[in-house]
Amino acid sequence: MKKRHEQKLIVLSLALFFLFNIPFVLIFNFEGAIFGFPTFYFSIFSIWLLSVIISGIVLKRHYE
Amino acid sequence: MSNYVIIIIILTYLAVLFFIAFLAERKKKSKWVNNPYVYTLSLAVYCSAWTYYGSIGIAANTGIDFLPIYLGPVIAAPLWIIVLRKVIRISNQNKISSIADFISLRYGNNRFLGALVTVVCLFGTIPYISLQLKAVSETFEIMSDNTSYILTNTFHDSTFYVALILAIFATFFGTQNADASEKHTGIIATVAFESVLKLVFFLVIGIYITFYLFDGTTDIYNQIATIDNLKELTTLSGLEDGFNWLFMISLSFMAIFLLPRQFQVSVLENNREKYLKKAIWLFPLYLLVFNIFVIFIAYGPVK
Repeated sequence: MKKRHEQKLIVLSLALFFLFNIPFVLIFNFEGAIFGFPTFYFSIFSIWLLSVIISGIVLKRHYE
Repeated sequence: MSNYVIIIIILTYLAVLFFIAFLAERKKKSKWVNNPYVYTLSLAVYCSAWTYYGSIGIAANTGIDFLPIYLGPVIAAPLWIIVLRKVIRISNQNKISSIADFISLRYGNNRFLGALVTVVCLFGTIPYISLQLKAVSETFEIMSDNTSYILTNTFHDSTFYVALILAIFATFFGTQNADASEKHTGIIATVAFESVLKLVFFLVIGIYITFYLFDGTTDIYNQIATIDNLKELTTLSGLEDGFNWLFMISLSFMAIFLLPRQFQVSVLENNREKYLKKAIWLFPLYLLVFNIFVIFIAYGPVK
């Protein structure tokens, strides 16, 4: 795997760290529900799923 | 259920585990035990037996605090492409056999440091194991009829025998080779099998509660929306909570690298580096699926 593709995953990890922590996590910090999931959980789960998809794509394309 | 039925179920289950380990050990080179999926599932040893009680208990009582335990590994997983690959390479070249071995190697095979790490791991692991056994004994208590029984003697405690059988299992399959850095295919295969079972049971329970006892996720939410402390259960309550959240994430971030059992499965039992290609995205996915129904299992009975 080339260095710049590895860097994509590192950036993803950093982005996750910031998104999952204050102050960013406070964006979704209110009552309410989407599809029955409380908003806070829903946002965390969606970011989580998104990160799985992104890292899956990066690895599928660039891992050799 | 009668105690004897439960004991028979436990024994059958353990026999199945022995059988799988035995088969895997015999067919060491087979594709069935050497693939990225078994590797990823073995990483799922991160969710222990206590997860059932711990996660759901926390979700029901204090709310979101069970999540950071899984968010740390999710943040860590993309880093594996560099960090874990290096650790795996170094460990393979130097025939590392434990995390203490690895750390002491980095400081010129310092014996004292190695011993210190081993002792720290030992004292860290004992309460951890006791928690697992507590999960076993509590489940036993819930399932059996006779709950008024007061323990007076270790030899009357069913958990003692479970611990004994598990110890025999680990010793038998852990010492098949004289070389400690050899792969333990049998144990890894059973761990992977257990990870599948854990996930399936959790999902079955989750789906049963959500879609059979209730009318989907929205129904559960609407029913519990009436209780008073819902806001506390579903949000961070302020800056202090936010910092606790941060520290828990940092802790679990380190745990995924440094827990002795995690180091064992992710580094020592890795026989091909390229398994990381699948593990880096599949492992967070496993954790996600594992956590989706936690809140609904926890909230279901509250209404």
